[in-house]
Amino acid sequence: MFRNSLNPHLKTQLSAFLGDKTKQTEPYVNLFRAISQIYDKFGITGDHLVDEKTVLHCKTHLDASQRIGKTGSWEMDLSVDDSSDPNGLKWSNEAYRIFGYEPGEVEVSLDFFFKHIPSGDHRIINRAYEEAVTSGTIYQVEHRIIRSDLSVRILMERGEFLVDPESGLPYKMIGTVQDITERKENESELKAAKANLQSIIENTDTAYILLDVNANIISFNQVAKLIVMTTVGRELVVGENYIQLILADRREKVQKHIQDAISKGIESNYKTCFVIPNGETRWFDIKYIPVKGEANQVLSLSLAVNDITERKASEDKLKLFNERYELMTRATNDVLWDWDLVNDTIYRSANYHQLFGYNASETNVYIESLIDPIHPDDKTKILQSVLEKIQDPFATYWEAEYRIFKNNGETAVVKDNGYIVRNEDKKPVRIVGAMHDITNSHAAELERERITRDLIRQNKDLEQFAYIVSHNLRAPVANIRGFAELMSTMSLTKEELDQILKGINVSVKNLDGVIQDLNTILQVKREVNEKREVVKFTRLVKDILIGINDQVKRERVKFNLDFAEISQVFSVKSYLHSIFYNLISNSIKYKRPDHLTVINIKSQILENKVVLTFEDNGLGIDLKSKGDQVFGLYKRFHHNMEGKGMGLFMVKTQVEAIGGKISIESEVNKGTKFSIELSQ
Amino acid sequence: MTLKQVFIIVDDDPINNQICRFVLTKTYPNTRVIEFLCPHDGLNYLTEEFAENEETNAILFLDINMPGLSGWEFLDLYNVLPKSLKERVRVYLLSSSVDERDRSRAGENKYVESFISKPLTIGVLQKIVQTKLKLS
Repeated sequence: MFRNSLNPHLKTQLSAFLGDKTKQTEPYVNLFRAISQIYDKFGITGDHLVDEKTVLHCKTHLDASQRIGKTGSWEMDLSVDDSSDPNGLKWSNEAYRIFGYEPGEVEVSLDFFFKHIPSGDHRIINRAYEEAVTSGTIYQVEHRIIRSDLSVRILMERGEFLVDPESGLPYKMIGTVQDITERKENESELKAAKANLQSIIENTDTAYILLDVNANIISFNQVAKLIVMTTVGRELVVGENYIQLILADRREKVQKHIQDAISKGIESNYKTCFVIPNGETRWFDIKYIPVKGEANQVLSLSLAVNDITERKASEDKLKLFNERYELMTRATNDVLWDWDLVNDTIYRSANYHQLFGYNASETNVYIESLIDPIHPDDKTKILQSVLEKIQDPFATYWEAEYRIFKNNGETAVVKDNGYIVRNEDKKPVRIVGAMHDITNSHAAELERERITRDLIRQNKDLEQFAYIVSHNLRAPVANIRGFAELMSTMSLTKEELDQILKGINVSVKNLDGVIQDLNTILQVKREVNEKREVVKFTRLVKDILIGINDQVKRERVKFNLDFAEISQVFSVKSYLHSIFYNLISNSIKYKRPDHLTVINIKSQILENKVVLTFEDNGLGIDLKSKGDQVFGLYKRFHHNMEGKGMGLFMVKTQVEAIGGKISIESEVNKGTKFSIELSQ
Repeated sequence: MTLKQVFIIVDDDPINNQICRFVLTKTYPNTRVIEFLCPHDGLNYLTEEFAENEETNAILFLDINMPGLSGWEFLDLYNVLPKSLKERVRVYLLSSSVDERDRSRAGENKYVESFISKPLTIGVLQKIVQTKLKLS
């Protein structure tokens, strides 16, 4: 088939070439050479060919060797014209196997051979043959075959012509066939991997320089070239010594790193900077990576250089920010928080744990952690205020004061401020804020407010007291003056003089009375140093009722006493006696004449305080107009009643002296209720 | 036209009223002095008896600190009485108070002629009556 396909021109060339060769060489030379090549390859010497037995042995040996080396051999008879003639081609056993057959299983021929060649590879084989003919070199080709089991393999064939010494024409070609599929595959994989690696190395921002163990440059990428050029103004050249490129003052350091890497296999890196020609300072991270062989010996040294100027700048900035943030959180008692509304996660600064006891990592997720600790009474209000703000596309600021439970169960009052971050659609994406524990300041503020209120009230009371005292002291004095004037300016009858002296007498008594009252009041108002003792309410009421027994019987008063909840208090007995006495006798004094008087006295514990209530169904007081005067000194509300307006004033003074508070509820013609709050 | 002149005293302090009566009757023996310990009774007198005797003029001495109805509250109720009636009454506050606020508050009330600090003396009374005569 080859010969058929050879054109006359080629045939002439082939003859010429081979003829030339044979002229210079001995007959059989080529045959011998071919065989000896094969035999050399498998370590067989020509001497063994001598003896038949050895030949047979060799044949077996050859077969095995071929099998091991996956190399078959073949022999093509050029004198056979018919390409289907089985005499035209002979295969060795291994050749059979390479094509997917058992040795001798089928008859081979050139046609049979070509049946296994994919159509695309026919040309390659023909060209290789033609080349062998024209150039006079050996026939060598790689081509694919489709084996009997239809698998595709890649074969490498080599062949040589055997030339008839008489005619000088080739009569045979013998050759080898080898399955190189695996090798080919490995080769192509390696090629691809190499290409990929190359592409990576050339397309990265990292500069790579590969040095041999003497620090001579083996290779480098474009980035390396550029960096070396800009930093030291030198060209990287393969084969040159890397150390020579380094600026003199750094050479020692670089050498040390290189030495460490090469001799000790130590990987190291450091950061350094260069001032480049435009005056900029650029920072680089330089890594020395020893490349090691299988025996852990250092083969070469890879330098990886990264320009970290921007990264370092942003790292420095970040470091500064972090430091600043850290210091700020330490400087303030505010818990800083960042609520990601999109992912519903919460970040809180570390002092959240310190201030409220919740573990930051436990509570860093989910909105629940935000809401759960809020006091139930504040929850709805707070959620609403947040919702309102985040729904309002123009709201950027949220602020609230509320109570939250600490992990230890205590209640804290916090002031919370948040800045709402929105995207370009004005949708809220996060809220960043600060939560300030104002429990103490809040309590202090409440206390301050209370004190201020108390002071204002006390001041008002004192003013009122001074007003009343001056008024009531002045009233009898004015009267005495009036009488004195009358006596000095008028001629008076004996009768008139008697009247006037009587008047003076009453006025002086009144004056004395006011002064006595003042003494009493001031005594109570002074710090209570009286002995405190256990005062039993039932006993107290009993003592009082014995004293006013006749009055109670006469006025037909019904008492309902309920001291079940708390039966006693530790206090000043004389004051409590006076308080109970005044309130009870007031209720009797200001009863409704046509009604059976009922007085309910009850003790309770409310919010850790003892609360005493005195309730009657008497005349009542119009609190709308007189409310502010109820407890005033010398204030009277009922005209036709005796009394100088000391009772309730004294009650209030005494209640306050023992650290209590008194309040009144009343309605005209319904009754009056006094509530006294004492600390336990 | 003969106008009858009465003095009305509204004060819960009987001693004061005794002094006033002395001063008034000694100075103007023929004048009638009517005193009320309860301010409500005083108001009732004005709206009933006094209202009917159209020929009577009155000088009213009103106390400030009284139980039930203070002088100021009395004036609030007086305010709503008919104008013709009020034209016949001249109100003087007569109080033992020395508080400046009472004095200035008296000055602000259009029905109060002036504030008199107790006790009522003949000299003060004469001044009042002279003013009264000048006006009429």
